[in-house]
Amino acid sequence: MGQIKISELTPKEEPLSTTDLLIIAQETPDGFESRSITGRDIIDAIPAPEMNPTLLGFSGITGTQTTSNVITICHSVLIPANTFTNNNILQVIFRMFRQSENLGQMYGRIYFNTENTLTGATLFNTTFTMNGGSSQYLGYVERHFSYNGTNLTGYSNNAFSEYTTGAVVNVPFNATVDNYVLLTMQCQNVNDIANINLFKILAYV
Amino acid sequence: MFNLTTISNGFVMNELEYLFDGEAEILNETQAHVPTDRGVILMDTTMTIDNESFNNINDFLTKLYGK
Repeated sequence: MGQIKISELTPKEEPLSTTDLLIIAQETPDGFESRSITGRDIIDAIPAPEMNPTLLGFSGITGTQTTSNVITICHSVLIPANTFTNNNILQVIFRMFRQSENLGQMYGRIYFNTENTLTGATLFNTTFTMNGGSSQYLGYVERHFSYNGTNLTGYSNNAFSEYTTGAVVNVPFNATVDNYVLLTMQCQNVNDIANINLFKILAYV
Repeated sequence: MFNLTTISNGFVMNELEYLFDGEAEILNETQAHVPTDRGVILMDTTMTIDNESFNNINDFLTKLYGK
């Protein structure tokens, strides 16, 4: 290995690689002591940048369609354990989609569960409704939930947006375990088919 | 299989006690919303109550509410 003085080091002029290696020899009373550092050491020591909001999940494709008048999970997103502590915000955005027929109402709902299933899930107690027989083919829904370490707090109002008032709704939420946001649709008429064709789930932590 | 255990004015699910906070809302033949002190819970006929199975949501709710 060739040896050069520190004063003779020149920029690498390309990105740091994990296999890069810098060895220096320091003169000591007994001779020399060598020290080294790798590119991996440097990369690992750089703190991850704080990103807010954090995107927990998104999709621009059509999810699982409804069957008959059964509430169906069209899309779901995992919130990993300990994502939230307190003083956090969960933002849920989804777009309801009339996939087939135009006979009856379609209902969008948000549930939370520790498993990726509706059985035993907790409802965010608001229903978002698209009427049938008109031109209601898409409905863009947005809700922000504040988290205080115990409850996700939103408000009960069937308006799709939040630019209005409503009653407070708390959803008990244990952030120390895995949780799923379940975005669901249901049809009033068994011949209609509903779905969700866009969603974004964001965390402000 | 998801089993519920009935208690006075409520049930136990996943080792947590839930107390009823109103009448259930039947959503279709297999699903219902049950209001409790821990929020509104979706229940369906894939669940058993005290290890008993049900074919429709009406029978399920009758057993759950002890009527």
